[in-house]
Amino acid sequence: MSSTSVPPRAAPLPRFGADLTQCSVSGLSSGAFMAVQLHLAHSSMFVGAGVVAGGPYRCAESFRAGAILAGDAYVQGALFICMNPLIPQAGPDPDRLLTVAHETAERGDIDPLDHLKDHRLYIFTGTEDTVVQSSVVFTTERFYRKLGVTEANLKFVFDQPAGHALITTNLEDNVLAANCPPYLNRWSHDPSAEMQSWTILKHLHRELQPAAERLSGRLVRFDQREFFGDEVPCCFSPYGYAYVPRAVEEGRVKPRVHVALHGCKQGYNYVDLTYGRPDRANDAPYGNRYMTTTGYNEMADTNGIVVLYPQVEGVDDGVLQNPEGCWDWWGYSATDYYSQKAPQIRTIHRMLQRLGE
Amino acid sequence: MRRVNASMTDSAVARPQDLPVAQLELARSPLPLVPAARAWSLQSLVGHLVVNQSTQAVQATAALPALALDSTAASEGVAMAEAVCRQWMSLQAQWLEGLAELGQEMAEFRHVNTMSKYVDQEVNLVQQSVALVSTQATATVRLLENIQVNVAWWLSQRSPVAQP
Repeated sequence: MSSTSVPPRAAPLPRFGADLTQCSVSGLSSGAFMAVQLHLAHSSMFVGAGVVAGGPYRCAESFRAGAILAGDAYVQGALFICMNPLIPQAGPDPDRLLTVAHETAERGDIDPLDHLKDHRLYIFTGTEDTVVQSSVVFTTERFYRKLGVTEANLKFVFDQPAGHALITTNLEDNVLAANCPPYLNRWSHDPSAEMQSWTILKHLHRELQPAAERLSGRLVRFDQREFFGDEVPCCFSPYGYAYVPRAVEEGRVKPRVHVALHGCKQGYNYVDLTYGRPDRANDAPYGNRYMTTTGYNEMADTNGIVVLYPQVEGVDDGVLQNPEGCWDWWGYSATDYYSQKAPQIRTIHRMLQRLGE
Repeated sequence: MRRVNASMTDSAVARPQDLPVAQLELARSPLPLVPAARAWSLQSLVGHLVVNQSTQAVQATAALPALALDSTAASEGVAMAEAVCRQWMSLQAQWLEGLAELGQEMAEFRHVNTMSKYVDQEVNLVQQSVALVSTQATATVRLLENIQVNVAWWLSQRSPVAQP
């Protein structure tokens, strides 16, 4: 949950003249659902997406007739159709969502879907995931195939005994099969295993240099509030982060940008709830781990990639219902949460524009 | 609200303004309106549930004739029933695990030097028991919602009239 005091201003997000036709995005859980939305909304800017435990585009709207109010139907759809369907046949229907995506593109709410045919996709679901059923992630894979993503460009991993998490090689992280915060698990006893973020970046951007053993760049804290404009903040935290390699900072490389989206309860200022109240006495800095220990920065460092870590926080004030600080993939912030006009997508797009200036 | 525990780092120093500040915060709070707000929230939810379930019942009825001719529907229905059983057994397992943890903690003899720590330990056990019951209640209601939405959605895909 957000702090009650007004946090001080941070420095603005710097300009790096990034190549905005070579962006990529990845995310875990709600970050994965949002990665799919951002990817489709601005597919002309992206070369691919990494989806770890995420469902297909607009799947929360699968069963509009399930409730009298759209907001109720979409929350139910998110929880019970897109995360935990009892059987695969009660999950999202990729054919129907494909039609929805085409209709959305024809209206001009998202970029034309033709861009996606040459894109590269990394999709992952663990066999021990009890938060987002694997059957849902299978529909994400089928959805992208139907959009024209080729066999060679699509890497789908579904046979690892992992829980609901981004996988690392950090000894401090949870065991592989865990399904609990901080949703960072470690590979089991495999010396050849690598950070999942490295696998994602190598697949999306193809031939990359090996990850740095020691970082040369810096993690930039920037103020996210300037990117809201006059809009409702829609759960954005005061600060976002970006990893900037030294070669980019010194202007020796025209950078690409990777957007890394955390999952629920992983924003830097998320505070866990105890009996429905933010437990500030046990303020756990999950978000710092996501932006510093998941390996994105090491791979970005040697390959001229700026990693953008936008941050959202929990709000549950009776209007916005997002107590766990998830990205909006079921419409809590706006009815057009999936389009270029969506508050969260528009805000991230403004950040990308800044990096491209 | 301060958490109840007896740790060494508890803020226990009394300041003269503590009581007036607390009284002022209480006066500013919308406490008298809370029962009405909760009642309105419940009434609204129940109203939506009644309409939703009526709609879903109509959709299910509309889908039934199609089900009779659908050879795969029976096997999917059985699979769904099995999935519900698995979810129910998982809930029972969590309940038993919670009880076992609670029993183990109750059985452990833990030495205390102060009466406040003793009371803290006893209250902790009560809170853990309440938390276990509330977690089970929430999970059970969530499972019921899950079944309702999934069955209605599954049926609606087999009904030519139910799709929006």
